[in-house]
Amino acid sequence: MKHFDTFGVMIDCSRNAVPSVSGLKRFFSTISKMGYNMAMLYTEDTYEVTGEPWFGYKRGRYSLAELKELDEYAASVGIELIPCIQTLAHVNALFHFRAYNKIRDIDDILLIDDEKTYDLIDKMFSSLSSAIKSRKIHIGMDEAHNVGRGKYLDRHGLCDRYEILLRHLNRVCEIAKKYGYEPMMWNDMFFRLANGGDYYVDTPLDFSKEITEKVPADCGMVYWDYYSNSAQRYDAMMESTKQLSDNVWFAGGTWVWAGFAPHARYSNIRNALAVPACIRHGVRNAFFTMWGDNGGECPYASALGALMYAAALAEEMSEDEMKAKFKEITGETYDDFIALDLPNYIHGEKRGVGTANYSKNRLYDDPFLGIMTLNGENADGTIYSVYAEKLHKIADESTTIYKTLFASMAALCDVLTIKFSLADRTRTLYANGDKEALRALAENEYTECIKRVETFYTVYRDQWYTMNKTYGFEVQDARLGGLMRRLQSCKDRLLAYANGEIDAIDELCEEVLPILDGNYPIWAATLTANIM
Amino acid sequence: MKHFDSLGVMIDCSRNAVPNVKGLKRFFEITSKMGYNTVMLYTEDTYEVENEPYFGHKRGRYSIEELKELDAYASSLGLEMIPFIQTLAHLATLKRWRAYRHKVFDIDDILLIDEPRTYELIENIFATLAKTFSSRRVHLGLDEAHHVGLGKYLDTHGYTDRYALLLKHLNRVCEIARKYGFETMMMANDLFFNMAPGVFCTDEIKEFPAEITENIPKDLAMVHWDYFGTDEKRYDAMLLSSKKLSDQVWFSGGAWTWGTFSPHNRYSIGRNEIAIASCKKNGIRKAFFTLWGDNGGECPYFSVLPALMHIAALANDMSETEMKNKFKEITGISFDDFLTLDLPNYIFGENVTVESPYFQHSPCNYAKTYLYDDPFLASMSVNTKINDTDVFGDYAVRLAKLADEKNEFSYLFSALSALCSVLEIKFALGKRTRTLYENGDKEGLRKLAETEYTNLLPRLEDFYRTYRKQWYTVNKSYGFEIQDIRLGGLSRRIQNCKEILISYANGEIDRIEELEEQPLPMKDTYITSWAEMVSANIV
Repeated sequence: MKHFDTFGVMIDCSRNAVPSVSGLKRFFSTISKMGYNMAMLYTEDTYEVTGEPWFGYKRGRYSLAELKELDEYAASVGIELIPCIQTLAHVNALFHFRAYNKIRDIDDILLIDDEKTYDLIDKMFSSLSSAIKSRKIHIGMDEAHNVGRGKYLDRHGLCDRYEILLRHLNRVCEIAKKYGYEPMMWNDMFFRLANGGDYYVDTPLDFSKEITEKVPADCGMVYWDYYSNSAQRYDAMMESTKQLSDNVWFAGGTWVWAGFAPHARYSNIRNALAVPACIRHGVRNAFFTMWGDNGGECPYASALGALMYAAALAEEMSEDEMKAKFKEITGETYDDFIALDLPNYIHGEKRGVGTANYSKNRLYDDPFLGIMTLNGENADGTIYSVYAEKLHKIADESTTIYKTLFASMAALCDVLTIKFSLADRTRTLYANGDKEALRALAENEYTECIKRVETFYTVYRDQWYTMNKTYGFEVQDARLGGLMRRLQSCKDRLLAYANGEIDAIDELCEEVLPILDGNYPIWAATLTANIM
Repeated sequence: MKHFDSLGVMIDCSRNAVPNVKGLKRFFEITSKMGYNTVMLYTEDTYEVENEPYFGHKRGRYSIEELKELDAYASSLGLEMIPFIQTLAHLATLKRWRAYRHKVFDIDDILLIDEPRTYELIENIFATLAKTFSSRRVHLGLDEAHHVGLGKYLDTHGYTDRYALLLKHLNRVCEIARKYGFETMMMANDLFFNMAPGVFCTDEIKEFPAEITENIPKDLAMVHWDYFGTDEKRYDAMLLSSKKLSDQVWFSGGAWTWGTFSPHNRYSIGRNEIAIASCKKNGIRKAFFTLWGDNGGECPYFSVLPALMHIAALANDMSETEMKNKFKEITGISFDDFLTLDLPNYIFGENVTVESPYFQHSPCNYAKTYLYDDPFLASMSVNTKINDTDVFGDYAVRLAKLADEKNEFSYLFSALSALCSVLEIKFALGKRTRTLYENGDKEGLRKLAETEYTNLLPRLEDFYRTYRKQWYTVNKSYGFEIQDIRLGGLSRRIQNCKEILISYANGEIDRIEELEEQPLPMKDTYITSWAEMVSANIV
C-alpha cells in the first residue's frame, strides 16, 4: 500500500466467541483482497500455552496446531499473523478456575514482581513463537487501573503505580526479546502518566524526558481511538505518540462490540478522520479492531463493510470503485452490508445513534421491571417492521455465506417489532387497570414474541456456528433461553392477574426511574437490578 | 430464657429473594413459639430510605409501611425486630445506579469514606430506620471491606492506614446512629481479627493494641460469627477475644440456607451444638442464627425450621423428645420428616456427610452444582469420585410422599422432590455423554439424546413450576427474574445439546469440540455461583 506498510485487522477471540479456523481462513482471504496485509488475533487466554493446562481451559482456546495452520494460511494470502495478547490486566477468565489465584494482584491483573508471573509470561512467548512465524507481538498493557493495590500491596506496601508498571513492562519486553520478538503495546499508560490520568489530548503533549526515557527503546506504541470526532485530536495524539517511539501504530475501530448489530456508519465517520491523519503524519502501521465485549454477539464478518471503507480510505479509492470492489470480493452489495446497522437505528435511518445498542437493550429489557424503558427517547419501535422487511429481502436474495448475517438481523427486527415497546405497553395497561387488554396482550403479543425469539434463536445459532467455535454459545443459550422463559413467566402472571388469581403485580406497581446512563453494554444490567 | 437474653434469627432479604410480608409473619409466629425473642432482617438496600429513590430500586425493597406492619406484628409476638444493614461494604446493587456509582463508591462494593454524600446517605438511612422500627438496636454490618481506602479514596487522599480509616468511619457511623438513639453492633471477625492477612479465626485468645481498643466506640457491641467451626476451642478463643473489644458480645451461628436449593439442617445442628455450648460456658447471653441467601436466595427460610428448633432446644435445655414434640406441635410435621429436606445434597446416601475439605469444611451444594453443570463442558461432574448415584429416585419418592400429606409446608417437599427427579437423570448426564463420546458410540449417544435428554426436559419444566410456586409462596415476586433466566437457560441448553448430539450421530457434524477437550481435576466442591457452574466464560 502506498501510504501504509502494515494495514491490518484485530479480531477479538476472547469474549466467549472464538472464531472458528474455517471462518478465519475465509475472512483472511476476503480482507487480503481488500488490501489488508496483517491480522491480529486478540487472545487473552484463548491460546494453548505449553505446560499450562488451565490457561484457556473450557474457553475454546486455539491449539498450537490450529495457530500454525492459521499462520500458514494467512501467509499464503499475503497476511502476516501477529499475536495480540495480555501480559498484565484483562486476564479475567484466567482466574475462573483458581489455578492462577497465586499470581492475581487484584481484579483481572497479574501480580507484578512475582517470579511465577514471569514464568507464565515466558511460556506464553515460548508457545506463540513456536506456532506463529511473525516476530511482532502486541503485549497489551492497557487498563490496569488498580494495579499494585491488591496482593502486591499486601506484600510490598503501597508503591508508585507507574514505577511498578514500567518495571513490569521492561521485564516483559526483555522476555519478548529473548524469543526474538519486537513488542508493541497500547500507549495509554504513558499519556495517563503525563496527563493527570487521562488519555486523550487535543493539543500535543510534551512528554518530559523522565517519561520518554522510561519507554523501552524497541517497543512499538499503539495509539487507539475508536471514538474521536475531530481531526485535531487525531493530530495531537499522533504527534504526541511520536515522542514516545519511532515505531508508531494506529488502531481504529470497526465496531462490532455493542450488541448484535455492527456500527459501520459510526466506524466510517471516525475512520474517515483517522486514516487521513495517519497519512498526514506518516503513521505507516494501522489496524482496525473488532472487539467483542460482553459475549461477542456480533460476528467479525459483520464489519466487512466498514473494513472495505477503511481500505478505500487508505488507497484513496472513489466510492464507486470501493463499492464495485466490495461486490467483486464478497458477492454482496456494500450498501446491504451497511444495512446490518439498522437494528439500532430506532429513530429512522437518517438519525445517527452513536454506538448505542438499543437492539440488545430492548431485546433483554425485562417486561415487568422495564429498566431500559426510558432509554429510547420516545421511539416506539414501529420502525422495526420496515427494517425487518428490508433485511429479509436482502437475506432472501443472498446466495453467499453472509446470508446468515442478514437473516439473523432480520429475525432480531422481527422480535423487536413487538418487544421494543412491550414493557412500556404492559406497564401502561396495568396502570390503567385494564385487565382485559392485559389478557389480550398476553395472549397475542407475548405469545407471538416468544415464537419470534425462538426463531431468532435458531437463526442466530446458525450464524454463531457458521462463524465461531461452539464454545461460548452456552452463554447465549442461557441468555436467550432465559429470555424465552421469562416472557412465558410474565405471560402466565398477566393471565393470572386478568383471571383474578393474584391481585397485584408488584413490579408493575413500582415506577421506572430514569437510568441516566443511556445504554447498558452488559446483558445482566439490562434486565435486572439484582445480582445475576 | 435460662441461658440467653436475646435469641434470634437473621433472615437475608438482600440476595434477590425478598421474603414477603405474609411469609415473614408466619415465620415470626413459628420462631416465637420455638422460644426466639429477636429477629433481624438483613437488608443491604432492600428497604425504603426517604430522599433516596434509587436505594433498592427494582429490588423489591420493603416500604416503610411494610416494615412498620412487620415490626408491630413481631412485637405482638414478643419478638424484637432489629434492622441489620450495611454501612460500608456489600452494596454492589446500589453501585449499579449512576446516582451512587460515581459519587459514593471507593472500590468494589465499598462506600467512599470521608465523602459528605456518603454520610448524607447514612444519615438518611438512620432517620428512616428511626421512624420505621421500634427497636433501638441496629446491626451495622461492616464486614468484608478488604480493599477499603484503595480505590477512589487513595486517588484523592493518598495511602492511609486502612484500620485507622475504618475506625474513623466506624466512629462517624456510630455517632449518627447515636443521634437517632440507636445502640449499635457490628461483625467483629473481619475488621479486628483479619488484620494479619489470612487470619480469620484463631484458637488462641488475642490481645489487641491500645490504638484499636481505645478507638472503638464504647457503646458498640461485637458480633462474633462462625458457621463452620468444629472445635469448641476456636469458639472459646474467639468469644473471649471479642470480649476484649467490647463488654457486649453477641454470637452469630448459621442455619444454612445459602448457595443451595436445599437446606443443611444436619450440618447446622452439628456446628451449633458446639457453638452454643461455648456460648453457655463463656457467658455469652446474646446470639442469633443467620439464614444467608448467597447467589440468589434459592432456599426458603422455612427450610431450616429443624435447625432453628434444635438451637432453641439447646438454649432452653430441652430433651430431644421434648424438642421433637414441640416441633410437631408448632409446625404440624415431625422433626425427622422435615429433615428430609436436606437430602438433595446427600449424593453418597443419607448417612454420608457432604462437607467440602477445601473451604472451611462448608457443606457441599451438589444439588445446585449438578443441576447447572453444563452437559458438554461438565466442569464439575467429571470430577465426582462416583460414577453414578441411584439415590435420587428414592429421595424423590420420599419427598413426594411428604408433599402429598398436604401440610402447611407441602410446597417445600414438592419443589425438592421435583429437583431430585431432575437429578435422577441430570446428575450423571455430563459424565455419561462424555464416556459415550470418547468410546465413539454414536448410536449410544443418539439413544442418550432421544431418551435421557428428552425425558429430562419435562422434569425440568415440572421442577420449574413447583419451584416457582414455592418462590411466590414465601417471597416477593422480585428476584424471580433471575430464576426464570437460569432455569429457562438450562432448559434451552439441554435442548441445544440434544440437537447437537443428534447432528453428530447423523454425521452432520464430525466432532463436538467441548467433548474433545480433556477434563482437568477440580478441587472446588463448594462453588455457589450459578455463572461459574454454567460456563468458564463471562456470563
